[in-house]
Amino acid sequence: MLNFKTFFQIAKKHIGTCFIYVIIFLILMVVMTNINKGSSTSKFEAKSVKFTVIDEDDTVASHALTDYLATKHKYISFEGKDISKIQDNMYYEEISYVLTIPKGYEEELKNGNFKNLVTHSMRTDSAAGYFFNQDVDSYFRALSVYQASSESLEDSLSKAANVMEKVNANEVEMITFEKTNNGNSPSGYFFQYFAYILISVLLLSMSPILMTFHNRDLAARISCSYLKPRRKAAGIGLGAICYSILVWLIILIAGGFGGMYRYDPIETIALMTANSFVYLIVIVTMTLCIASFSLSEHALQLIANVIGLGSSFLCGVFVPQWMLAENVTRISRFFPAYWFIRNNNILAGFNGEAFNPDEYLLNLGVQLLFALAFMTIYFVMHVQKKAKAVA
Amino acid sequence: MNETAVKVKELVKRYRELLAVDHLNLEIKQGEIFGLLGPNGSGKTTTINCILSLLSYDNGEIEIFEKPMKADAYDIKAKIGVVMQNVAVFEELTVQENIDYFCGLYINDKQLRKQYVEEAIQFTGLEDFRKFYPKKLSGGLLRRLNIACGIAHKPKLIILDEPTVAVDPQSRNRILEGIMELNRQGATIIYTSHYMEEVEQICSRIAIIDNGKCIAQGTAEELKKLIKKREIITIDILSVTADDIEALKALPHVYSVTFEDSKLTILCDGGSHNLVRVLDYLQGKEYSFGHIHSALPTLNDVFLEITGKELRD
Repeated sequence: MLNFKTFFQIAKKHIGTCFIYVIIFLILMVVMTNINKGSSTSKFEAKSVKFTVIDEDDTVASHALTDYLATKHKYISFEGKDISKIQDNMYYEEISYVLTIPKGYEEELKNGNFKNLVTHSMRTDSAAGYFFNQDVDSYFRALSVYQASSESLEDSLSKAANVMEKVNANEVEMITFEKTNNGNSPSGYFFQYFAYILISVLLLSMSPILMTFHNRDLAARISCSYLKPRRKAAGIGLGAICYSILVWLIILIAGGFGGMYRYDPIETIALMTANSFVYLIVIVTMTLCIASFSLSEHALQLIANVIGLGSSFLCGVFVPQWMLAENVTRISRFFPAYWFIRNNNILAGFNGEAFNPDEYLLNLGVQLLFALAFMTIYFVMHVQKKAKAVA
Repeated sequence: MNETAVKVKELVKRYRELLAVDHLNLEIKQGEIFGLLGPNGSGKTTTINCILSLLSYDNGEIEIFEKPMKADAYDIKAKIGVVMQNVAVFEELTVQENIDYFCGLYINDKQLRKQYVEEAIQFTGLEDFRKFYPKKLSGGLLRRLNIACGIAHKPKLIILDEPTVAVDPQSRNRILEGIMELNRQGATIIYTSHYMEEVEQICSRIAIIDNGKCIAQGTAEELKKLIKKREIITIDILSVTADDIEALKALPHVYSVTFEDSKLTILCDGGSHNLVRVLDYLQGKEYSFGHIHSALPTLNDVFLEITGKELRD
């Protein structure tokens, strides 16, 4: 565990780079969250209508309808039901919808008549009223179903109100899902930028640690010690795995705090996370390869920028894949980031793409093949280096 | 102690066409400070790297503590301390952390390691710098840290490869005193250097290496006896005649007399009272002279006479 401990002692000195990138990423996320929050709030307000009821029936059934609508929309009460006062408020946009429940409403319900039971007035310059109409119609549809099954009116009113609450909850979820399919998923954007951040953070903060251990003089000094090479490699390898998982978790947790996962189903988030974990394996193996070269700090920064920015531009991190030219995407297939982004696209529903489990698994497999290739290169280089050192 | 610490037999190491080590034979006894002296590129570090199994070699045998030394001979490696020519420490770790790391390569017990690290810090005089990072240390302190990392685990055999390169005289003296102290504590030392004064000062036996070959081996005195030159007399004098030069050459033990730039140099091959005889002759001829210097031969003279070139070439 000596090298494992030393790995993290060295990591402490390079943690600044890691934090800079994570902080930049957090800022990006906060900006993105606010953009998304803004759009969703306006949508919610569009559904919430300020309304009042002129209840001429004043029965249990009419009260049940008012109570149900008040759970969905904002009920404004007017003393005495002064029509001119209500009209004034409608003019000044204090209310958008006036529902009139005529006398005999409850009787009509008992008789099984659900058509044209209520009348309404609404502002024509607002779409909100149409949502309100939908809610009223849905309520009567549900009520008609319960009444048809010979329930008492009281039971039907109660059950209709309950089921409508659930139906409306599903509707909200459905709207969110549609939003995802339209390419506005914050988790989609989060994991898209993840590709760039992960390369940058790991290359710039983990490579120097690995390069320290690969330093020729230090490696020679350690070689002539009592420590067996396998134990040395195990310590460094374990350090690299723990470090990279830690970085990965920090970014994921930061995403949680930034509200990146709130609009997508948990299954989608889980698949995106799994995709990012496989991509993490690719980046770790790539970092191991790059760190095998004795690079200067400047050379490392240059390589990190070339690989990080280059693959991000080519593979669809900064510019969506569907906007890239065909010949560019043909080249980008040779980068692991392309396959990571492919999976992200189908999970986030970007550009209307639908999720396909087979394609998802294929993309994961291609990423793992890249990891395997990097590991093979690393071991070949390691063996050659060792042979060269003792030659 | 007469047991052999290191035995190198017919060692040959080639780098393609270059013969870096040429049938080298060494036998280092336990408790010795053994010096490997030679100019840069003579094969000292290659020999050390072969001894440590850091390099493979083309021919020969190496034994340490009477066991064959191989890359996987960890029982032998546990007894060796190495101080590399290039300072090999972690830039990201403090002085104390570095010593603890290198001690930890050999010692697992935390308490014992703590004690050893503290002793190494005190031994190398790094008490005030334990929290310093290597970048903040001077060249001399850095070399002392390098040594502390190599000796902290109390090895029986310590190999120091040019540990005083680019070190100020004060730090150099401290390092040399430290090496002698380690030897007094029982460690066998192999010390490579191209500084003949250092080697002469601390080593009980010396091997002079050139072009990968051991050209001479023995104590400093034994090595000096190998050459004809035993005393060098230098006298500042304005002029001297050719007849007087011939007369000086005829004096007992004198075998070479040269006069150049108002400096008369007389080489003697042994004997005693050579300086008195030379001065008697010059006074008899009523020469007036200035600065007079008589010196015994150095290891550089040994090297010069054997190889025909200066040790520092």
